[in-house]
Amino acid sequence: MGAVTAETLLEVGPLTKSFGAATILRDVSLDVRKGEFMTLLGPSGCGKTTTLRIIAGFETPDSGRVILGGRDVTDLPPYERDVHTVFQHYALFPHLDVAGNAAFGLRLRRVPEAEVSRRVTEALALVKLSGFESRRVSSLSGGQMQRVALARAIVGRPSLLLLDEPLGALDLKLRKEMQLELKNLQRRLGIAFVYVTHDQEEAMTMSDRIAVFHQGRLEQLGTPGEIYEAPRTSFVADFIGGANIFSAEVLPGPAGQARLRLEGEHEIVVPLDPHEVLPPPGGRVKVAIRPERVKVFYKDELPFGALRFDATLRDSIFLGDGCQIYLEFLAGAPDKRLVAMAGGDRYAVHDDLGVPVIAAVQPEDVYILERDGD
Amino acid sequence: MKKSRGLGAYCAALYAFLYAPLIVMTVYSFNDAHRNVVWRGFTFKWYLTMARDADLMRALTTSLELAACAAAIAAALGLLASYALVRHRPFRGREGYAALLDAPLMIPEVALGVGLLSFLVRAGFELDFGALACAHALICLPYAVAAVRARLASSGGSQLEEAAMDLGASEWRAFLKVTLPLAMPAIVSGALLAFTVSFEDFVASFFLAGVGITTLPIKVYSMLKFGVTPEINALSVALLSSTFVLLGLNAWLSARAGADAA
Repeated sequence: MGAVTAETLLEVGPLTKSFGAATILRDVSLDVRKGEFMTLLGPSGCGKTTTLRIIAGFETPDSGRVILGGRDVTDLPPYERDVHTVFQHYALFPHLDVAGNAAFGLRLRRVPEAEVSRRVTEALALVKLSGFESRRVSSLSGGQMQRVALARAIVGRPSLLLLDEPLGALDLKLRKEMQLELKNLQRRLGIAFVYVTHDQEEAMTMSDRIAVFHQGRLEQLGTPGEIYEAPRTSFVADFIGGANIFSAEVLPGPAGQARLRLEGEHEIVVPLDPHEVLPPPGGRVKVAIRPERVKVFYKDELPFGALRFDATLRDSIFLGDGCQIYLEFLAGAPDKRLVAMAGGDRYAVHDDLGVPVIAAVQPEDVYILERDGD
Repeated sequence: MKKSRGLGAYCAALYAFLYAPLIVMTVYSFNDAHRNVVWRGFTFKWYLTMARDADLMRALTTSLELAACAAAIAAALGLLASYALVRHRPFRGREGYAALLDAPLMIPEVALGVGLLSFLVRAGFELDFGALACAHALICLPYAVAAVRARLASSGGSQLEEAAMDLGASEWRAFLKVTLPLAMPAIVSGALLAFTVSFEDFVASFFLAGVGITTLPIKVYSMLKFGVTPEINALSVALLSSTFVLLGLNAWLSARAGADAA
């Protein structure tokens, strides 16, 4: 479960959960520190929302515990946990006005009315909805409803706030604004956030740490930089940032380095991180190379980059701020393209399709991922 | 769009077909004559006669009490049944249970009346007010269920209950603070419908009303044996007016419920 420090607010795991024959979570463990912005990221059906609902208390795990503030809350109902949720579809109470929604939790706890009104005013000011107190929720826009849901959840000052794709229903521009606003709000309040999204860019923008989910497993947990710079699995490499993923055979090589043969052709030597363990020679691993780390040179240029592959320019797409270039570099697998990103419009001309080029990569930009089973 | 005279005439005829009998009845309730045929001038006296008729007023009171009891029972049972059908995790045969709740709407009331009569007699129940109220509640229940079930299903209620529980409400308080207030317009609307159905019920009441219990429809039917008097016209107009008031109230409640559902 990792090192548990005094700063740890929430520990969950190892969670397993099935609905009927479908296994939703397999041995998921994670921890959230006080005041941390943690994002659960993954495609739909990956188990991130189920994990959130287990933390909130709406689902009970088949096995595994939920420890909140040092206390085992696994078997407690949602209303006995110091956790509030911002729901994907807001779930505002339509029979109450904005202030009534925000005050709901406080009134349940029989907080004196004077304090209720002071704290509701404060919370609505935080989400920039001052003056909306007596508006009916059905008269609000989506963004405003989201703010009411947020005010309702933070007014009770929980130690942990859960957010289930809260920006999913908003349009792109509003979503970008709300991302920054949410992040600022989280910093100001010092409340830990567990934030569920399928949008990797959103996760990168807002999170202190990201937990990447795939098919009910926690694939990797780390800071946005770690996830991007040192992906551990091909899913993480591809889902976050995009990557060229190849299968490679392990060859005998010196300690601290990996000698690999890419898809039966090119031989490369790349440095090995201390935590990385290679299968014995003859075994296979997956490797990833980010498109923006692949440099493309014409034959008459002087290439830099220690790993060089002869390749053929097959296609290029001009994207405005750069070009996406498709290269063929494996004679044995002409369909397996290497994608490169290059700045400017240098490769936007289509006259040179089919010409030989050199693709160059720095050894440290080749990420070694999980073992390749087949 | 081109105006069509034929269509206008058709509509006029249709509404005349629907409402002419009621209008004639209303007009003759103000006729200063014992027979309905000739107009002899305007009077309120039939309304006074009606109000002074002790038997008639007793029947009216009985019917109002009966309808109130039946509506209350139907609304309470209807709320519970709808909640189970909508909110409970899917259980085996849920659709079947729902259909069985609706079925009394389709069963011919004569069959229902005969069934109730033979059951009550065989089981040794007195054919008293209580028995009749229960029978009416049975007839009204499908209306109450239909109104409340639609409301519960459409208001995104399970998510709202989760939100309430997330904010610290137990299941019971979430129901009281969120589900019940949201369902209230539908509960009232279902109860009003049930009230109307019970109030105008004739067949089952006719089968089941024991000695000494006379509902208004039964009383009116027995009065008709002596012909249609202006007093009966007056009574019918009074009932008609209250029905329109109830209908208006119901429409207002539905509109309000619709405005709430975001």
